[in-house]
Amino acid sequence: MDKHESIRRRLASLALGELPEREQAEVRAHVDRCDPCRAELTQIERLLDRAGERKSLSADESLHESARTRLFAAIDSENKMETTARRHIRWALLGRRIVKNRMTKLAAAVIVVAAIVLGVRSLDGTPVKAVEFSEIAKAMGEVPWMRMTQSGFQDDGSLPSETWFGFESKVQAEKDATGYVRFESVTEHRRLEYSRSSNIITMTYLEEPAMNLDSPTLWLESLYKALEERGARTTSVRMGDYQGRRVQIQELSRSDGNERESVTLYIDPKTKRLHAGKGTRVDGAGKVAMIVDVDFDYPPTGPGSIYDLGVPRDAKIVSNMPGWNVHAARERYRQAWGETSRECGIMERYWRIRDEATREYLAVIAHNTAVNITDAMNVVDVDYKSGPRHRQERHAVFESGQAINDEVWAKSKQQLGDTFESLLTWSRAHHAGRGRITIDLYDGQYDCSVTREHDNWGPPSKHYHPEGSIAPEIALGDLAWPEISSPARIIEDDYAAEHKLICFERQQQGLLSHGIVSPPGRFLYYLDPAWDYLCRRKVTEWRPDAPWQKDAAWLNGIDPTQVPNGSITVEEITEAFQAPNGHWYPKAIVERQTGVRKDYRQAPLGINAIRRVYLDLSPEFPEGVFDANKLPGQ
Amino acid sequence: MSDGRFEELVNTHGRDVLSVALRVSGDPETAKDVYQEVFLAIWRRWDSFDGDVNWRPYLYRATVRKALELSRVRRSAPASLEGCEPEAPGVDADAGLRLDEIHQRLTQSLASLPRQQAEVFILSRIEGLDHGAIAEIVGCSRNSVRVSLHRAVKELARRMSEYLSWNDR
Repeated sequence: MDKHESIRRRLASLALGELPEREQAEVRAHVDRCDPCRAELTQIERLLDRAGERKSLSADESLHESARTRLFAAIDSENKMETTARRHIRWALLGRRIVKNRMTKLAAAVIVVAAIVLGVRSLDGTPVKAVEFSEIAKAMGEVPWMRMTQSGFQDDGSLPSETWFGFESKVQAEKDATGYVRFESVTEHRRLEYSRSSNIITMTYLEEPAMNLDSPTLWLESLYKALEERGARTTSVRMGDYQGRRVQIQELSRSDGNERESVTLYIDPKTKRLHAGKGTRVDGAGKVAMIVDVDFDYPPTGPGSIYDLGVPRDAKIVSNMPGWNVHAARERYRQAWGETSRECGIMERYWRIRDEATREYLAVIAHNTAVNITDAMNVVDVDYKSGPRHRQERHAVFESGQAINDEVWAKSKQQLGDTFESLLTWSRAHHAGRGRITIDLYDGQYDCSVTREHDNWGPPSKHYHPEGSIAPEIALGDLAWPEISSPARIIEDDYAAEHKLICFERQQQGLLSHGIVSPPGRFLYYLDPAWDYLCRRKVTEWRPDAPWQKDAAWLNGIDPTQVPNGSITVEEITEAFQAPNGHWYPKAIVERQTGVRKDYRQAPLGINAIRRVYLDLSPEFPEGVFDANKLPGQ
Repeated sequence: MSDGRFEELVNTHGRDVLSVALRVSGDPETAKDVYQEVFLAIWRRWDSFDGDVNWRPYLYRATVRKALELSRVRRSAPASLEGCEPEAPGVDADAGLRLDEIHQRLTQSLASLPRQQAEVFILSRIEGLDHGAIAEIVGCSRNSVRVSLHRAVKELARRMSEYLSWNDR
């Protein structure tokens, strides 16, 4: 990190008065000579001055009296509605007093139940029985939509102000006071999240919704179960008024050494549906952790899209759906650099070539990775592709735990050979025999995966991915034209200049989330226009202490042992050929890697893997090779 | 707890709640609405608070949050600050209008920051609390307070750069 950047990162500390004297002098000396730093420091100081001006504001007695009067008038108004209902409290309170005086829990429980069931009376004196959970669940099980409107305070997170559940349409949506909106469709396996500050909708794949939308009963069950598991018990049931409606009021509460919690449910006795709820939680130190009010209603229809929740139509959509989504990538580039930029122009060509060149093929990719004999192959991938359908079989050459020496390798080498035909023949024999194989299959809709260890196939897994496959990891397209989907910028560097290549650079900020560190990353893709824009060299750099990391404080508070080491990986196509279809393809790829020390010194790059690619560009596929129903292990 | 104790709560903390709401929103009417909503929420479940409750941290946070929420919704210019400390003497009318606009912009910028950053900035730079007190109120470590404050300062300075440059015109 250079001196200027180091100073820039301390400007806020200087303005906040956090720097020791020696550092203050250093920073000020730099600021005196540096216009941008001086301008930035001035802005920060002015911001703090403006904020500080508000310290002098305070409410005088007349403003407070006006607010207080209004508050108690509102309370009186609410009290009048409740007054007649409070007669019924006598019965529930009687039950509670008896509970406190009783010796045994069982007897206390009996008394409470008796008080609730027998002692509660409505206005006209007829006994009112508590609405049972099963009745509420049944009543709510028939609604197509439920809306919860919430307000209040919660210590450990933002409270959504409105939440929708569509039980027939299988939709869940929510929005909160910050303008954040979320819309999930289970049938479309899609989650959309909107941020008002950026005016962007981010689309991601929804594997499983947070809540089972098969029925509101299940939602209600989880609410009651959670309360029960925390030890909450019903302490009173009475009739009353809430917001001008006649309701049954059930109060549940619990208390242990750590916190006290109470929940009040307002139930419509005619429809037996939840009308409203309140929750309060106070921790052991007397600190209020939650005060929440919820209103329920059951409209016949609900939001059909995120726009129905107030998201503007001009919000940009950024797709993070799995698989290669060229439309989303194209849009991201346009937004980042502009339609006429050099980046956009080259990426359009890159994507088109990648799509054409990998539409249909049968590839065998032989991997030499980190074995004690340098030319030993230890994995053979057979890669079948036809349009969106893709199957990759990963064959381990050696059995797990097998000692590999010259003799063992010589035997395997004889069986494997080093031609397309010999490797394909070996893999098909291996498939019929024993040893480790993993098959990843995408049939256009579902990603399936199955593994064999020694003799036994496990059951296949299956996931719905209509937007494209998220597996396999190393296929022909990834080796020759890796995805550069997040907008990368073209840079000039010595390597690119020397080899007449176009270098795309992408930087990624480090992230600390839930205690897990994702270090800052830098990725260089060197495309060769003379080789059909093959990515001739790819550099991946991970550095916890990266000069491109904008937020210097991102790792504060983390245990240093949690931070992974840095590394540099260079993947290079060392041999390539031009096929009859005009496209260039890789023949050999070498991967080198090294660790990065904190002082930026690094050991020389050592070979991590060598890959050889063999191709059939007019393949005849075996029958059923893309059929998920024909996978072994079913 | 009895109604008398609720009144005692309002009498003890009410003026502070109103003042915090005023300092965050910059608007007396919004401040009164914040006051109303914060205390009504407590009143409506008063029966569930038995035993001792440490109200100060909750009231601080609930007031700051509600003030930011209502300010986000209401983008109107602040009315004259009746019932508050007067402006410094000698300020000319144009400068006064610009100052109002800067403060309005500050409120809006605070309202759109991530929640913890906004709370920490307000408690530190407007309420004048130290990191230890803020950590106790917000429920995080002192280091987290420091990081949130730095991020808030940088982001606010960026968002308000045009307004903060007005003195240079």
